[in-house]
Amino acid sequence: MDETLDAVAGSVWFSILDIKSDTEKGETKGSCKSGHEPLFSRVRHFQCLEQPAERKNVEDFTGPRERSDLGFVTFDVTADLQTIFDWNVKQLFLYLSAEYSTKNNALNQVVLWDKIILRGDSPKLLLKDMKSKYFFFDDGNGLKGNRNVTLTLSWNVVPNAGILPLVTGSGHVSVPFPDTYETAKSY
Amino acid sequence: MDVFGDLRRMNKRQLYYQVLNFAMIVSSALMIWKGLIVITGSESPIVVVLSGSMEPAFHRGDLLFLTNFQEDPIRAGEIVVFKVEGRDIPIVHRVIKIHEKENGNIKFLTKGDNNEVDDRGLYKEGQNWLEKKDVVGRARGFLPYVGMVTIIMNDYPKFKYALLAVMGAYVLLKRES
Repeated sequence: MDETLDAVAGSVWFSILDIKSDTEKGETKGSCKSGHEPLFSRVRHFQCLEQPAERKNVEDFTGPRERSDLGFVTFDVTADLQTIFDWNVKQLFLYLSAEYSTKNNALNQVVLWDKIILRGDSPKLLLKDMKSKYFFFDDGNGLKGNRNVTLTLSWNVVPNAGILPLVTGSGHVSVPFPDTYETAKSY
Repeated sequence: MDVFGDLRRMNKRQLYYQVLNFAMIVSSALMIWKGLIVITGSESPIVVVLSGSMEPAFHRGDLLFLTNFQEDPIRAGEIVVFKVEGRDIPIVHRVIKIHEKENGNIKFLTKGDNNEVDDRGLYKEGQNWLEKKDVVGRARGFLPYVGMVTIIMNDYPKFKYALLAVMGAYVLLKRES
């Protein structure tokens, strides 16, 4: 049964190149809270909602020639970074990364999205329905049925001169992946 | 400045003294550099950014201070300096993907902030991941512009020789009274 799913998913590969809004899902499986909890110590407000993650199993033509799981996550980011900017901060490199373990690898971290915020840009972020900027490929098929994929927001402070710290926000969101692959969609 | 008058008046002993002084300065500089290599664990603890692939964070000519402690795990988001097998030039980019096995073996992918695509095109033919052994160090600190001197000396060797000649002359002719 899996092979059939794989074969069908494989045929959808080229349509992934122009992903449209993947919002026709089943029930919401994301476990993000919808309250306004201050989840990050220095970011005053981070709220993340995501539609349920879906997953496909396709060939990654940019990398190793094997079939691996490809995950799709959409998310919102609300953040206030005002307190991080001080006289010595030139820019912030903000990134959302997914961390999880699989049978193949004890630890996997994949950066899904990043943003550069320069000194002078608006420190308040209100982004909705964001798709990952980079393909969320696993090294193998470890996303299927993986309940413990954690998304965290981190940032690299680039000073005018001095130390380059990497800070991870104190909140995180769990994204459980479904047990089945998404098959042919309406593209 | 009656430099040549001075030179004639110097006797052999003074000349040897000056040469030794010069050698001491060079040795001390070398020792400090080697000391840095030991302390940081990196073969190249201070590097100059050569390209614009990490703009707007780092520009050509900026100086980066690296450490390369083996116990420091490589994690997504870190800025690493690595060398592709077979090439001399170190590259400064950010880690965007890691896959680490239980025994600590790690393979990771990098990308320049200012580049559209990841670095797979820069790696060796057929190489899809970097490993710990490719890493020269992790960027821990940064000073803007200071490295421009090195770039100028590389691009204009005449400038480098002129600078060395001036420094050498100064040290040899300086007299401690």
